[in-house]
Amino acid sequence: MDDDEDLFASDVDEDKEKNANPEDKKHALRRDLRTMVYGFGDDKEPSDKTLDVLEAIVLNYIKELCQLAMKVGKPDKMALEDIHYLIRRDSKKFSRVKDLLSMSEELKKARKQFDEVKPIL
Amino acid sequence: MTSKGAADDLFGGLSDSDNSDNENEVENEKSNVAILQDLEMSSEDEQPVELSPNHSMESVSEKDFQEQNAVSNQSDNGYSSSAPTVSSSSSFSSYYNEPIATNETTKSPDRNYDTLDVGDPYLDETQQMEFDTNANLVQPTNNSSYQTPQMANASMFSTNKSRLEHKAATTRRGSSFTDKSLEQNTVDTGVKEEVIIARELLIANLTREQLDRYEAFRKSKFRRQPIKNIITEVTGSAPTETVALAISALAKMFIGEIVEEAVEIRDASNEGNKPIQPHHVNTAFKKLYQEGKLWPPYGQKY
Repeated sequence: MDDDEDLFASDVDEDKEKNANPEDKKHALRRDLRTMVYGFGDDKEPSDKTLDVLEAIVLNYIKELCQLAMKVGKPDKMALEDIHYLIRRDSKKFSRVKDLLSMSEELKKARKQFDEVKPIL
Repeated sequence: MTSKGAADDLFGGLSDSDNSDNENEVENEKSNVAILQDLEMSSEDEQPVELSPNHSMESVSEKDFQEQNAVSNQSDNGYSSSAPTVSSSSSFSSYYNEPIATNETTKSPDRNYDTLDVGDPYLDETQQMEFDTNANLVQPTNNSSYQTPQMANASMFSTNKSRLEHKAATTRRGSSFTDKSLEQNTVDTGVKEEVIIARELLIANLTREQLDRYEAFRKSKFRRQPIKNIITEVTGSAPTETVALAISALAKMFIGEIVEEAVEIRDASNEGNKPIQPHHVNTAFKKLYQEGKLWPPYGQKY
């Protein structure tokens, strides 16, 4: 349900979201974060305070990253500059992102081919 | 940048003429004396020499890599000529037989200067953590392929340094992003199979609890829509799918680094039975920040 709201959210709705439910204060990332933190080594039920902190960190991270990326190149966001930006620094992240992007390309291709074949079938 | 582009370059970029140019260059430069020197150098490589923190680990896994590579490289004959040579050049006996390879490998070390120059210890760490914690097993693809150039790199340092620098200079300016990914692709295909086998073996041997955790690690991700919302908030315009994908991947890895560090800190302070507390997270963050591992966007390049 939160997702549906997000899907149709306009600028007006964003304010509503923040004020409406106390659950929304956690932001939609919370549930995913819980599983993720467990996967990375925490206990099965991580502490709420920790999740608060981590969520704040993630949000801040994304914001900072986006702001930095905007300085590089055009004022708009380009995918390439993000990735090139991190090349110099972090090989782990870079290779992961590269793999993901190439995988999604392959998936797209496969789906396209499937769609082309489908009418014939 | 995408694999499609890389695939195109795979067919367009790799031609015999390119190799032969390098070959001539190398053969002219290499005298018998140099070859003998190289042989000496390469024999030194057989023992774990402390040329880099990674070096001893590389020499071991290098052999393994080659064994696997020899077996699994049948389908890649067309353009894997660079792959085995990349790996075998850094090994001992075939070093003097593969003049092409030495140049191939000089290309990629260049990449290493930029990315792994100071990151070597980190790479080492991640390789060790590979089977200890739930580190992302996609890493090996990159690590092994980075290792092979590093192997050659270390031995190249003591030989014809100017040649190395010359090659590095030209590739730095001249080579496109896709050239490097071409090379990495050819190495990757050989390494991937090895990785897959290794991964299956590992998963088969996990305990139930570990399996559970691993599943959580693999499955967990940030949903696309909230991420897009956040990005839109920050930038003012909606991001593309790929950008959102990249950002969510980066965010996951970012937390991963912090949480893993926090877990270590928690275990070190013997609070093992409690879940991670905010102060663990804070300490972890500060520590990583000072090590420069959070560089974009926090901290400074080192």
